[in-house]
Amino acid sequence: MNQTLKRSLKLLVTAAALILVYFVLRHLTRSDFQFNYALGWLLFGCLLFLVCFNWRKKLNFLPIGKAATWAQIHYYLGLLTLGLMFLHIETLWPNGWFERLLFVSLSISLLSGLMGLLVSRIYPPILVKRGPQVLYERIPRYRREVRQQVEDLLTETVRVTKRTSLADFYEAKLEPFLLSQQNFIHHAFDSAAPAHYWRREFQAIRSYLSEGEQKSLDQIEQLTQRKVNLDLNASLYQIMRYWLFVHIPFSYLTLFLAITHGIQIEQFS
Amino acid sequence: MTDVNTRTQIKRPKKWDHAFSADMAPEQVDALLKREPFASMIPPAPESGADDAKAEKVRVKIRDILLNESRLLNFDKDEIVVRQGDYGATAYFIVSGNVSVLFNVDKSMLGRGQATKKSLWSHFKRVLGNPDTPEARDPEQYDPAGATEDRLQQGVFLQDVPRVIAAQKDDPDEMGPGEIFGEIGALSRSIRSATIIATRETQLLEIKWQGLRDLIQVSKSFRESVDKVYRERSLRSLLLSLDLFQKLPESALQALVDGAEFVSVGKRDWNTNAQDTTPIVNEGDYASALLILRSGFAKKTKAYGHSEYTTSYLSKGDVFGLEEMLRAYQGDDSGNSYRHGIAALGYTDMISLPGSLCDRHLFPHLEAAALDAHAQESTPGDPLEDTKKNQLMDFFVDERFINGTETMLINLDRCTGCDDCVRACASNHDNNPRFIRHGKQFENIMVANACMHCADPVCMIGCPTGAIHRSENGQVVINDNTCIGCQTCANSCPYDNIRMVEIRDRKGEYILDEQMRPINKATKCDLCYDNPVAPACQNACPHDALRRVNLADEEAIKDWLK
Amino acid sequence: MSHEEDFGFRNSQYERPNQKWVCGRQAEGNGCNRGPDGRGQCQTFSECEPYKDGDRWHCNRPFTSGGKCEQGPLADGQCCLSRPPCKPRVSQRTRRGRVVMASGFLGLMVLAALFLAGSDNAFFSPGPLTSGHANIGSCQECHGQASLFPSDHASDPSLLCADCHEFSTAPLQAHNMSFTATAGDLASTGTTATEHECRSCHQEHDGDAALQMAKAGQSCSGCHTEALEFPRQHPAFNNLAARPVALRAIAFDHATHQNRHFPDQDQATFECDQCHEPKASSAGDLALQSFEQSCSDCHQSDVTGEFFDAGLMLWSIPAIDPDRLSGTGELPEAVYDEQAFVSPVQVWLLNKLGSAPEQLEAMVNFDLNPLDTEDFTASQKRQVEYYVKESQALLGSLRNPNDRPTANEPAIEALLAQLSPKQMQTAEAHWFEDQPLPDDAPYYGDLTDGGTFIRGFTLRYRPSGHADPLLKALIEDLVINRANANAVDQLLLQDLLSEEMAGQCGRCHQVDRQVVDANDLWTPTSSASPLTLFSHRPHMPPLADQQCVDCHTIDLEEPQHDFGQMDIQQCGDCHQKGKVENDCLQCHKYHAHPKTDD
Repeated sequence: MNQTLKRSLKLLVTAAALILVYFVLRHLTRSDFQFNYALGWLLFGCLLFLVCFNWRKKLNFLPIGKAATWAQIHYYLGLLTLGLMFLHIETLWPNGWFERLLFVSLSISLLSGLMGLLVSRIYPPILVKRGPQVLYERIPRYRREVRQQVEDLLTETVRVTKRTSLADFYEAKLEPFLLSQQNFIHHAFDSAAPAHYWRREFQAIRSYLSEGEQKSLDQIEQLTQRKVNLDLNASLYQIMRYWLFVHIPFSYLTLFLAITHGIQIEQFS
Repeated sequence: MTDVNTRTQIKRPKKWDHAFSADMAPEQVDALLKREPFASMIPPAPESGADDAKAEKVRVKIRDILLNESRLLNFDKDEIVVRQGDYGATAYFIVSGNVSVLFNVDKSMLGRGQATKKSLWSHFKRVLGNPDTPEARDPEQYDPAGATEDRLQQGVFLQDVPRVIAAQKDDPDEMGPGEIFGEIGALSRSIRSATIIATRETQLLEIKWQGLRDLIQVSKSFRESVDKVYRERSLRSLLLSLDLFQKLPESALQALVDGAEFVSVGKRDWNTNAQDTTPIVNEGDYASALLILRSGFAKKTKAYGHSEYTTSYLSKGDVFGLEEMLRAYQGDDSGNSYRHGIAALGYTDMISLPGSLCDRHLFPHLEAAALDAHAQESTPGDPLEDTKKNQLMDFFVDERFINGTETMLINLDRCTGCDDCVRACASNHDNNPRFIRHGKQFENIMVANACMHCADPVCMIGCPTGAIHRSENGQVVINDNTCIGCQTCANSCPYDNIRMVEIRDRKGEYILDEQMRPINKATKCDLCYDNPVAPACQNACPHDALRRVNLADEEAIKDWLK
Repeated sequence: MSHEEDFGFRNSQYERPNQKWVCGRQAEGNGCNRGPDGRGQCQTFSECEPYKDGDRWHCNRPFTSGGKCEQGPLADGQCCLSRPPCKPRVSQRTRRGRVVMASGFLGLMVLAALFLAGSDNAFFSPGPLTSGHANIGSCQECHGQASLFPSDHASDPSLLCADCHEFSTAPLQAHNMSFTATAGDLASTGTTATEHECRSCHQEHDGDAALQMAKAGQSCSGCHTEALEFPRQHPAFNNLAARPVALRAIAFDHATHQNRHFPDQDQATFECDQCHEPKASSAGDLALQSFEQSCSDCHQSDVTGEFFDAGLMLWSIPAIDPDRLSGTGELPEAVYDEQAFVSPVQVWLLNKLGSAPEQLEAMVNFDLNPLDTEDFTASQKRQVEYYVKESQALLGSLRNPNDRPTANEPAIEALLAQLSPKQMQTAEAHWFEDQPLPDDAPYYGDLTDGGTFIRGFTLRYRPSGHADPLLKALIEDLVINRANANAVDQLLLQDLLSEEMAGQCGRCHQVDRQVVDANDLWTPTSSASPLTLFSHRPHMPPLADQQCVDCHTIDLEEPQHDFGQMDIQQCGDCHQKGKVENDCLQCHKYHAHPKTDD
């Protein structure tokens, strides 16, 4: 069974579960209030299980199922929770400031999760397409090495050819680029713009260089393109790591707000 | 920063810090040296003094080897010495008494123990107590006082021996004083091929394979005799383990054993020439013999265009040329030449059974149905049709990854670089990861630098102390206590899967030796062999991007590709 | 140039994402191999830590950092490759953990705010109140003082609704009625207590709209799981406007009247609007026209008919043989030309006003035939004695305008009005020779219309016509208090309703049914349950083309019924989606009885 079919099946099951929950709860409860109350507890249970995924990852040595299985359950349960949330509040925007806060927090959590899932599925093939893997922690080292190699080449070239045009080019345009990570947004959308830009730049200066310099230029261009690739890796890895800085804190915030909401309901009605 | 003179210091570990047995006394060794086979190892003392010195050197060397690499063991009647299927790194000389060689004994009678995995609770405590310093060690554990080698469970006796013997196909071989057994498994890094029990009170000299290896280097005559026995014994058991030879009458089998020839290509420690591809047989050659692989790897190729492509690869126990031989036997002319070529990958050891031998002793005894089945027309595929699969296969074969039984394959189309696998590995090993998430890539598949627990682990060849060994369940494991940090295994591994680390104390300072130099140890993936959930990396990947795959089994790759 | 890294163990060390601290130079690509220590301190100040061996210093740079360096340490023992210490940073995972802690902390703050800021926090209000509750200033007024601990659980606000919104009955029961559940799956449980909170339908904190009647589709089907669609799934009309004649307030059989009585009397045709008001009001039922308009043509003679003459005996002087009973006081001599019975009214009045009513209860069981008193037992004699004494006393106080007994019920009041001092004095004058006739004593000649009159030793009463006030008051009192009736009350009621009583009240008015109040007793009430809303007006011309007989068909076949069952399916002709809507609240209401402040 190929992947698309598997995914469709799982989505179908989630939708069916949502419908099932609706009808079963309607049948079991006598009034709107009871219905929403039951739904509220169900939502809370879902939230707890979703948060448990984070804890399962810390307890890898327990034989409680593969992380991949838990991940699949986490994704589809999150979708179900999205549906349950709208069932629970019955409108698109609740009254009451606290409930709005809870709604916003949960929505950010769910939507950031969805976005993270998309990112996790879309970016790795891009990285495969665009070149060999690099370990994220080593990117600064490679960046430094690239710059070092370019500078070595430059010193050698200047020494041999006695011309400074390449060095000027480097100082004016290339050095700031090689010093740090650049073009985050471009790389986030897998744009070829940075690569094109440098191709153009190098093309432009090529005709003004001597033969010896041109040979060095070729190597420098290769190194520059390598740096562009490093930037791409850095950007994509950063997105793939930092989206969790939104998702997890908001999830815990939602959990606590939900506990508050539950206490409020229990105490006030 | 503290003064370097106040650092934790321990003695730098050396090769024979841990003798195999503390009980081996010089007197015993001297007594042994006078007996066979050791006596003949020592070159005879010639008249001239110079040669005498040489002989004395040899004698001293053998003495040292015996002192440090062997021990004496006593067995009672019916006690099991060696179990078929176990991994062993030792050979046995019979000093006195008698042993019996049994095949295919019912496993339940062998008293096989379970590998001791940690209980959940003790593992939990361990994880909680993980040090925050990388590569932290407790210096106490390195105290060399006491033998550390683990050994077969003491005193397991075989029950109901007469019935077992009766169940044997033939009368079991018996061996007496001066003979050696178990060297096959020890030297070739493979499983024991038979079960050995003592038939009466027996004394055996157990010697580690490093000692055996050293002895072989020292004495030419010993090497030859080992080779001879090695060939005979292992050949027979290899044939018997194959379907093709199961139902042969003894006479036919003996004829085949006697008439078999040996084809050896490449050095056994093939890590030095891992990339060599030596053709053994070319496509179209006259099909004169049936080839059976004993160890190592070979690839089957088919000519295509200007070159050739790999159709599949062969490993231990695989047979080449059967289809052609059978056709020839049945009178079909198309069976006269090989339809594939075959080339050794680095190193391979093969048995060649000449066609005439097979026609006379093998094929007549095969059932008609088997004959037809084996003679089926096999249509090789088009290499350009299923390019991904073929290219991937080529990649695995060219890089020699087919050696791996637990190769870590990472599907880069799904890996997000979250490092959950590395973290899980670290939490199982005192906060130290045992692999790196990089490695050779083919399109979207990366073979990560994690120990593959090879079918033929070359890393084990040079280890001076035997710290790197095969555990009971087949994983290749490094015993941290006996590793002396010589880097031989790390250098040997053709796949860069072993890493050296400096060990530190709990505070984070390097542990130094007597000369104030940091101490290194070799580390690598051990498949979480003592942990309840294994392997942790595969378990922890949330995107199902990481798998430990048995590449030695061709079918597994096909599964992965689906 | 490809990116291929060198994977060898000399050039590539383990990456340790699990470590908390990361070398500060990592970001610029210059990270050290050793990393910070467990507390986040940089511990690498130079590439190696030189050691002295003999008189020379040696380099002991770790293998993973490159092994021994070429130059070796400086002469004074310093490493030749020193590195200024870095400022270690926490790893990304640790940073993430801190953000999570912060957000968790924030959440806890909100939780604390819920209770520490007092339950009066507008932030936590889930929505605006309905405009009717605008005068509620703080949360506490309804929710009490809520806190974190269960023991302080705020009272259920929905219990408070009834404090202001008064219901006559059972505010928290479903439909404000006590009953055994028969609806849906509650039927099987046989629950008698069917609590149904206000908030099941009326949700506060949702503005004006929500507090009003909730959508019927959701709320009703919570219990009424079977009657979902009208008219297909709705139960059939059972005795709707077709109650058995025997259960009605007035024993009027439409069928017999239409087919027998009217033709017999040569009356004009039997038209509905003769008795039922032709102009429908918005009330559920068509109002019934009065007796005078509807029934008197034929039935007036019943009221002032047969037994009119004898009237209701209000008072009778007991005729007792003075010799058999001692100490009975001044009584007239026995008169044999008239039976002197015990007047049930008298006994009843004595019962109401006197003490020891249980003595009187026994009186109803025997006639005071003067000849029979001989056979009385001692206790019976005592009862008679008591009766006579009390009668005497009461008579004495009745005739005395200053000594009148007080009435606290309308029935007694009405009765006493007839037993006025003048009346009693006149009666006494008739009965006792020594009593003078008062001035302007009423004259009792031939009373053809209602009023009190004296006959023999009794005081009697003729009703003044239909709905005679005294009879009406007495019957009302007796029927409504039927639950607490003793033998005296029962006998009187039985008497009043008998077919031989003047006025013949009991001939048409049926009281053997559930009666709630006076209106209910005399006036035909709707057979529909208090939960049903029905107005005839939209169902009659000009809004609809229905005639009475289209729905109310007289059925001669069905015994005990005069009308056949109405067919609910024909309601569906108009009551369907798209036309007149067919949801529950069209015809039914939830609250059985109106709130008292409506």
